[in-house]
Amino acid sequence: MKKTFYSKGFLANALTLLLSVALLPSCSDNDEPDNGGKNPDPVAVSYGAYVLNQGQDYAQVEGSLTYINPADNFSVKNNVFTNVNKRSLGTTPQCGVRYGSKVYLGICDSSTIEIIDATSFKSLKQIKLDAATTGTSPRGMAIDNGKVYVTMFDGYVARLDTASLEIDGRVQVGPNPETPAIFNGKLFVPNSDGLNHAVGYGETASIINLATFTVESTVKVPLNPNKFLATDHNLYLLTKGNYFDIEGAIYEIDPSIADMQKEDKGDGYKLIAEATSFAAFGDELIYLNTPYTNSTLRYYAKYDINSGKITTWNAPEVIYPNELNVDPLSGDIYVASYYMNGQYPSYILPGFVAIYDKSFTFKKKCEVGSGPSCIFF
Amino acid sequence: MLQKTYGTWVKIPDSPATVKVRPYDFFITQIFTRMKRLLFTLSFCSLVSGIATGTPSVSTVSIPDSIDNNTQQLPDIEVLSKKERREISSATPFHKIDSKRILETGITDISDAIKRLPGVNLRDYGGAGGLKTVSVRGLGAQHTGISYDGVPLSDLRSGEIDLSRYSLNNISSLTLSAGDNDDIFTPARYISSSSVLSISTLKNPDLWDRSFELDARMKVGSFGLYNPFIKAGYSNGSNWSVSVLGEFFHAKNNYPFTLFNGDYTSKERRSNSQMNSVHTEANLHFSPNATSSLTAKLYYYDNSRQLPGPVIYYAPSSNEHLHDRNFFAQARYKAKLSSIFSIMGLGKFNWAASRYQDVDGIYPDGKLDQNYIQREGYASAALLCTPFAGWAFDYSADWIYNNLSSNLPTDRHPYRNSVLQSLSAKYTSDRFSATAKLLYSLFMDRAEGYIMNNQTVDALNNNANRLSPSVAVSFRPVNSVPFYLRASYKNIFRMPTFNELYFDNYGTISLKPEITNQWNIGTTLSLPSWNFINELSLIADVYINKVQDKIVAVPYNLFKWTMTNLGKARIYGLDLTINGDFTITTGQSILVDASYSYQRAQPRTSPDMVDWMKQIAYTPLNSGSASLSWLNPWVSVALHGTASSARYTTNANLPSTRIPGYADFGVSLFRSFPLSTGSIELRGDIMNIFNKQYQIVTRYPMPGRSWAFSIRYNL
Repeated sequence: MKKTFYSKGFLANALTLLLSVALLPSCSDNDEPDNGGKNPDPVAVSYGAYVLNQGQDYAQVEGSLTYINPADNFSVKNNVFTNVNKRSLGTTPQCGVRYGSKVYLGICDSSTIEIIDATSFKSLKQIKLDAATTGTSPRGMAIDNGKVYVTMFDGYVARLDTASLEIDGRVQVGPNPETPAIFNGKLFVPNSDGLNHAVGYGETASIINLATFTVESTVKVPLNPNKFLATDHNLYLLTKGNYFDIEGAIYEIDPSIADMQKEDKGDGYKLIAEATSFAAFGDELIYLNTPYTNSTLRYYAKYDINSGKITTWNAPEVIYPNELNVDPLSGDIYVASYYMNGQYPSYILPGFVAIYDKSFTFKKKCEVGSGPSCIFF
Repeated sequence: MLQKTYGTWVKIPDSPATVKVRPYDFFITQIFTRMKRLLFTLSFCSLVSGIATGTPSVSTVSIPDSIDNNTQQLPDIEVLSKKERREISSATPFHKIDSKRILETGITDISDAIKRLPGVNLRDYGGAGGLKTVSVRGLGAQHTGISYDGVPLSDLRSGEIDLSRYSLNNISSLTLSAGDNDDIFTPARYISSSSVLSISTLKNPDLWDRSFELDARMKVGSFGLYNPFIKAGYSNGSNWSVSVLGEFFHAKNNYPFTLFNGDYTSKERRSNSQMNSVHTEANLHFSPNATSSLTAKLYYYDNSRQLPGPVIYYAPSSNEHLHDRNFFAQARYKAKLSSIFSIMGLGKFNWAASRYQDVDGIYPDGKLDQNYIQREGYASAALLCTPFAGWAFDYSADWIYNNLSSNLPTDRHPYRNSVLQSLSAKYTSDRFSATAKLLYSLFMDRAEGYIMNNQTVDALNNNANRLSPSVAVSFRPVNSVPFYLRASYKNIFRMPTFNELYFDNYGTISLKPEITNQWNIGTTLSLPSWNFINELSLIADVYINKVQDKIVAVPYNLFKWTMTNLGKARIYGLDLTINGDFTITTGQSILVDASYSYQRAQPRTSPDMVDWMKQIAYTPLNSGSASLSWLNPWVSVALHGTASSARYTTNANLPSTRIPGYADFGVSLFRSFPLSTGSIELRGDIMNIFNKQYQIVTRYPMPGRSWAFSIRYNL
């Protein structure tokens, strides 16, 4: 992770940080632009799937961008950014969204945002982030009304204007905000406090009024909030527990918490299921769980928002799942996975993405880069 | 010439036939110390070590094997005419670089010195302030013991010693022993590591000659380097001497490098890379009578350095900072009680603080601030018994107390009591020697519990003990020729470090020791002087090392690492060393030094792993060094180079993780000027003369072409 592999003295700490931070699959969800006619370029046809592979910089395994084209029998183009632009994407690509014809990529350790053309992958602009004006270490993104909101791990949400391609404002949140979502005109930001793990993870979320771009309230949420996800009518939160004996879980959030400013949890949160990654399609939540206490177990399931019914499925093609997302058009489910090296997952070897249709029929396995941890469409 | 033997002055005949002094030496005489003291020296220290190495007939006179006044480990006068060095006679691989060779072969700093040794793999993060750790024969840096003037250094937090803190100014010799060395009259702790790199510092003035010595140096160089050094010593001419030294080191380390990024290259500079360090020592040598001697040292080191971190594409400069402080006091007492018994006692107290800070908004309160303090108490006693000719026995017992505390909320204040006992026997005859050692180690760890987030982490006890044998034999087929065949075996282990055991929840308290087995066979040959050949020697060893219960980090789940005794490794290799010294004409000679190492280091944990039988990360298959020196009365020249074949950053040896090989050449010019009192030595160096851009650790570029100039006054 960031700069920490210098001295053996704090290598141990660095390793912990590395795994607590770099390998946290923080990723933007498949936020569709909050419609209502504001979206300049609504999804009409699938642009395909973009997979960010984190790499392992200390081992000289570079992060990369993979493009999977569902229209071409899921053909795979690996390392597309470097192949097209003839330079490195940067260290630890972490999050990305497609908005209209552009793709916005957040590179955590390089502290850059790459704006590329969604089909040619040509870099249109590289924004170098800095602590003084934008915040550094991008972790998650959400899009709304011509803006890309980027959470910065040093405690900010930066607002990127998609017309000028400039960051035109920021607001302080945190500590260590992760993947946000937009719901009812508000940006919900989970504050993981992940680098304070020695004394426990965070239990707050910042709620930002997008009209004023100010933090409206900071509310208490379950331990280690990692990713908000909005469907048409509901708001969900994935928490990551403590990576040890408190499991990750999906909660349904009562939208009224935004107005309550209350500090007591419990009222506004409904536990849906234990999970380590999730996505939404229509009125369903698709999720997977690799329990911390037994990482050989895997659960794949969907949750029917209306009926509350949980249906499990099997994904024997997946070896060590890391992240999952759903194509908003087709409903195809993409599961990113590591390969094993002996009895442990390898963060060095290239990984793969297994694709299932919405009835969980296996369709295709795509070899991608090392550490696939963010999928968007 | 007068010589002090057992406290009385005796006259020893000068014998030019047996002691060669090259004409060149007169020109650098003052550089090291005064010749008259050097040609025949006898100190009690040398006598005892002569006994300890089990030499059959302990002559009363030993002479140093080199021009400097380092009197450890000397051959007996019987072999004087063959000028036999310990490298040649040792039953286990032993290599030495003394201060004379440092100058003559153009060694520029400690990492350069280590790269000249065979079988050694230096992990160098670049620049003067870059962390430098050394592993020997593929076993990992935590298996390398480092000793400083005969007392081991330790870092139980990480298990590795950063060698960048030791400048060459105060070094009289560096020795490397793979496996055990021939000496049996040592603390038990000496044999508790797979190999030992010993740093010997400049000695105090000799006892028998009342004198004042002064050694003042100034070195300046590229990238803001300046390094003043001063050492003063005094001897009362009978039984005690003292010395004090002070050293300051400053470097900006903002060296340029070329950043390659796809089709783009850019000229960059290392930033946030400055270091300032202070090093000071006081030494006492006291010899109350001819059969006993006490040496004591106070040491303080303070290094405040910025850490440039790895080169990360597009990222702003690092804000990391590391502040290391180290104080220790150590004393060693040796006495010969009778013709049969000698004793040695040793004590040390060590305090080491390391504070790491990183200013970055991602951390709580915008800053990471970790402060670690380690303390060590150490006592050792050894009894040497030489009951009859050819035999020597030793019993040594050591007790070591280590603890670690930090400002981390999860600090467990671990501490360890170690009791090490060794029994050693050595037999030596004219053509055969054999050494056997047995070490019994007992470790008792304690760590406190704590309560965090309503979770209770229990206090714990953790004990371990092991028996570790080693043997070494050496045979000289022809009595008159210094040609040896040797074989050795050593079984040893390293204890898990405090980090591996107790760090937050990444440590694993159930870790077992990591065990190594080392086998070595080799030959050494030193040709007698003949015609223009002053010296020509060859050392060749082949070895197999096996590691089991290797401690590795594995994912506990996708988000957390943990430590486990998972790995196995096998390393086999070849080390070759050639030293040549050829006289051209009076006052001129040519020195040739070369070493080559082949290391095949295979991870062998499990055939279903991708790294099965690949090459261990950061271990080059081929590496070596060479130097060619022309010593003359005008300006002596040394051309030198070190080289390494490609390495991988991953055990899996993925093609994208390959780091290309490199060769780094330098040139060194030096000359000394005698003054009416004292002498002046000038030296100029150009390092990496071809400006080769390379890296030893990925993302840490090494400096390109740079220069240094030093001046030294010696009284």
